Amino acid sequence: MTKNKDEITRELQELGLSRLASQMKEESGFGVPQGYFDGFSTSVRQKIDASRQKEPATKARFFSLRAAVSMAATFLVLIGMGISFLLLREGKEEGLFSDFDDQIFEEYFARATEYDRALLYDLIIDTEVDEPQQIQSTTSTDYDLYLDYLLEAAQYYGLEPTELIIQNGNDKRH
Amino acid sequence: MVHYSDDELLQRFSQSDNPGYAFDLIVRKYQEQVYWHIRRLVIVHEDASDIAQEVFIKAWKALPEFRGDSGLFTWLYRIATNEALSFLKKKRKRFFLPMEDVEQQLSDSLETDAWFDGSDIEKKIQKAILTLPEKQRVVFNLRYYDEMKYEDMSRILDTSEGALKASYHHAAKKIEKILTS
Repeated sequence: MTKNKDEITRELQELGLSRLASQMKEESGFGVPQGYFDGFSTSVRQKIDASRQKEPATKARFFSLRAAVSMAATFLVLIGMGISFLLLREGKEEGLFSDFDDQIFEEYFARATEYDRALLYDLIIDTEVDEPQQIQSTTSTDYDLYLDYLLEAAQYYGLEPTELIIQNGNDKRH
Repeated sequence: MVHYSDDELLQRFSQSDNPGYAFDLIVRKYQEQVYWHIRRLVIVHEDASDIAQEVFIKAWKALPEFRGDSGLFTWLYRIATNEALSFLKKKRKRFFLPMEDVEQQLSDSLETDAWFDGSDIEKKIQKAILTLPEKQRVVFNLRYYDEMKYEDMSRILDTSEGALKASYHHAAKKIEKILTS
């Protein structure tokens, strides 16, 4: 950096700012612990090394979070669709949705599925938070039971949540 | 320590088998300037230390793509300025504080900071600087403490030299007024 102390002092004097001009010779009063700068580059190096080592682990956690989010979202969609289906069916029987003919019903379902899938993809892509503790602590047995349930439910409704799981990592089932 | 020019350091970084060593030389060359620039903006040593390290980590990640158009020194100062201002912005948002309150906090921390040992006049100058708007503060510090040319400041802050000169004069007059009041 170019040292311009004289030029800056002169500039301040020309502006009539004598207090600031006279203070130019002084330090700002800030200090650091002794030897701080001796160890600075080592600290930076250690942090860089740590962040390099951390990267694969972060990816692994991110994958499991993605999978968990996709499964949770699929689960919610399936539950929601199940309830909608039951309500629509009940409504039809009771005349609540009497103007719903079969074609409209099918269209609604097709659109809802498409929309929900798009929403799921957005959710997965947008998720950039650390994995919550409760997901990390989920046991593999819980995970398997949960996955079985999801697969059964998906099969029942003619959906394929496995597509989502495949696209988000190499789940052990695939 | 041997002093290399920025061009030599960048060449070593991109061409040697050990870019880590070249980067270490870059850190050693600029660590103090970067740290003090940040420190004058965020005041507290621990915050300045974290931010300064973050600046070099970002530089390490981005250096392979650095084309050298702006010069290493300008580039590092730009990252440091952005990081420091972004830290203050986050601080304000995190605690839902208006800017004046953050400045007041920084001003108060001058009294308690174990690593501030300035005289009364130095403390008064620092407190006066904290009354300036953020960008004016950056301009004042770069000129008054870093003794930087307007030309270099212009490259760092992407602002015309005339505007920087006006901003610095305005800031200096305000500080002088506080000092003499």
